[in-house]
Amino acid sequence: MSDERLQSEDQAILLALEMAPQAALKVSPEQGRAAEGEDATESLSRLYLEALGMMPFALEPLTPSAGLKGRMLMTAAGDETQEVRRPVLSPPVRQAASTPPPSIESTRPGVAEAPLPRAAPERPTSPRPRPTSAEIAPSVAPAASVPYRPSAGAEARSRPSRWPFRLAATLAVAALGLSGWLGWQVEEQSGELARLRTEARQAQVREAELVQLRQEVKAFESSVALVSSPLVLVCPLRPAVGTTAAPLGARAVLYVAADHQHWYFTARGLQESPAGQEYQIWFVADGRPVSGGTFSMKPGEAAHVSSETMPTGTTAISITLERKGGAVIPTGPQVLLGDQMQQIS
Amino acid sequence: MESTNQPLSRAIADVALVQRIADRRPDALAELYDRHAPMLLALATRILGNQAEGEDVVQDTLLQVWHKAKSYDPARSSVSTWLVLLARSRAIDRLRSRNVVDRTAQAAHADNPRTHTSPKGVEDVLSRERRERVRRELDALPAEQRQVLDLAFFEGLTQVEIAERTEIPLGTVKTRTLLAMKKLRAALREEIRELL
Repeated sequence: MSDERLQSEDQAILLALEMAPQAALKVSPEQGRAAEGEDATESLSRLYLEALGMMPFALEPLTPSAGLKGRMLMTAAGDETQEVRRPVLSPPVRQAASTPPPSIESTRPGVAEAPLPRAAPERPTSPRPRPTSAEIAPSVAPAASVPYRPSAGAEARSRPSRWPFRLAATLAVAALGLSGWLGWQVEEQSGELARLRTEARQAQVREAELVQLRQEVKAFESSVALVSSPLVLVCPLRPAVGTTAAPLGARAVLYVAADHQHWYFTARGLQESPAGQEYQIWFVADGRPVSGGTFSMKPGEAAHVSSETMPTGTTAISITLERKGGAVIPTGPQVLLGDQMQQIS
Repeated sequence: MESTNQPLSRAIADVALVQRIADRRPDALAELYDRHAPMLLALATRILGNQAEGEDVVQDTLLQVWHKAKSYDPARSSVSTWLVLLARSRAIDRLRSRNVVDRTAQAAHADNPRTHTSPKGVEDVLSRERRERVRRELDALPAEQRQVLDLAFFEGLTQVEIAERTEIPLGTVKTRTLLAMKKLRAALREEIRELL
C-alpha cells in the first residue's frame, strides 16, 4: 500500500494526518508548516465529507419507537414555551479526548469556503474561521486535544429527561401567577360590583324621588291650572266660631274647577298635627258630610290636597281633627269651616 | 433523469423545511423527522449498538435543529448530510463517554442491525437503490481499508487509536484511510453530487 504513488493532494492529506495531533494541541512549532497543514486539512476535509459522508446511506433505516416523534415535538414545544436553554454540561474528562466535530467541506464550486454546519449546537455562528487541523479530519486527529463543547443532550439523555420537571415547574409558576391574577381580578370585580350596586341603589332612589317630584310638579301644574282658571270656584275657610283647635290666623282655601269635580285645597297656620291624629276634610252635600281625605301639618309649612272627584251638590267644607287615618263621620272638634263658594272673575 | 432529479428536488424540499423550522413551525419539524429519523436512527444505533440510545440521539439531533435551524447554510451541505454529521457527533460523544468494555460488547451486538429493520414503505425506491449502491461500493473496498473507515466513522477513533486498536503502523493506517476515501469518492461521485 505504501508503495502506491501519491499525488500532491494525497501528500497534503497525509501531512494533515500527521499535523493533526499538533494542531489539536494548539501547538504550532513551525508556522510555515502550520500554514501548509491548513491547506492539507482542507483537502482532507473535502475528501472526508465526500467519502465517509456517504457511509450512513448504506445503513438499513430503522423505525423509531411510536412515541419518539411525540416526545420530540412536546420537548420542542416545551422549550418554546419555557424559553429555557438546555444546560450546557461540563465535558467529562474522557469526553475531552473524544472525537473532534466533523467539520468537513464540500468540493462543490463556491462551497469550499463555507464551513459545514457544526454538530455542536453551542458553537457560535460567527464568521467562519478557517478550519484548523483539529477541526477537520474528525476521526483522524486525536480528539484528546480538541477543544469543543460536548453535546449537552448526550449527557442529558443518560439521565431521566428533565423537560417534564421544567414543564411542571413552569406550569406551577404559571398557575400560581394565574391564580394571583385571578384573585386580584375577582377582588377588583367585587369592588366594582359593590360600587355599581351602590350606584344602582342611589339611582333607584333618585328615580323614585324624580318620579315623586314629577308627580308633585304635575299636581302643582294641575293645581296652578285649576287655580288660575277663570271659571274656578273659591271657598275660603276660617276657624270655626268658638273653636280652640285652630289659631286665629289659620286659613285654608278650596279651589273647585268648573266641572265641579276637580278641586285643590291648601291650608296654612294650623297647629302641628298631634300625635296619632290628622286633619280630615269633609264636603257637606245634601246636609251630609262626605270625607275628602286627610292631611297633616308641619310647623311653618302649608298643606296641599287635591282630587279629581267631589260630591255633587257640595255647599260647604269643614276640617276636623280626627284620629290618624280618618273617621267615617266627623267625631273630633271642628277646626275650619267654609260655606261661601265664590267664582273669581 | 428522473432518478437524478428526484433526489435533488427532495434536497430542495429539505432546505425549505429547515427554513420553516427556523420560523418556529412544529409541523415542519415533524415532517423533517418523518423524512430522516429512520436513517439517523440507523446511524446512531450503528454507532451506539443500542436503539434506545439511538433514539435519544435522534431526538437530541432534531431538537438541535429546532433550536439552531437558522445557522444552517444550504451552500455548505445538504440537509441530510448536516443531519448525519449532527447525529454522528452526538452519538460519538455518547460512545466516548462509555466504558470501553461496554462499547465492545455493544459493538458486537450491533453486528445484527437487521433485527430492527424498518417495514417496507418507510423509504422509497430511490433511497433503497442508493443504499444498495453505497453498500456495494463499501463492500468492494479491501477489508483492511473498510476496517479503518468503519473505525474512524462509526467509532470515532483517531488514526492513532486505530493504529493501537489494529496494531498496524500509523503510517499504514493513514495510507489505508486515504486510499479508501479516494476510492469511495470516485465510485460514488453521482451520489455525492445528489446528497452532499
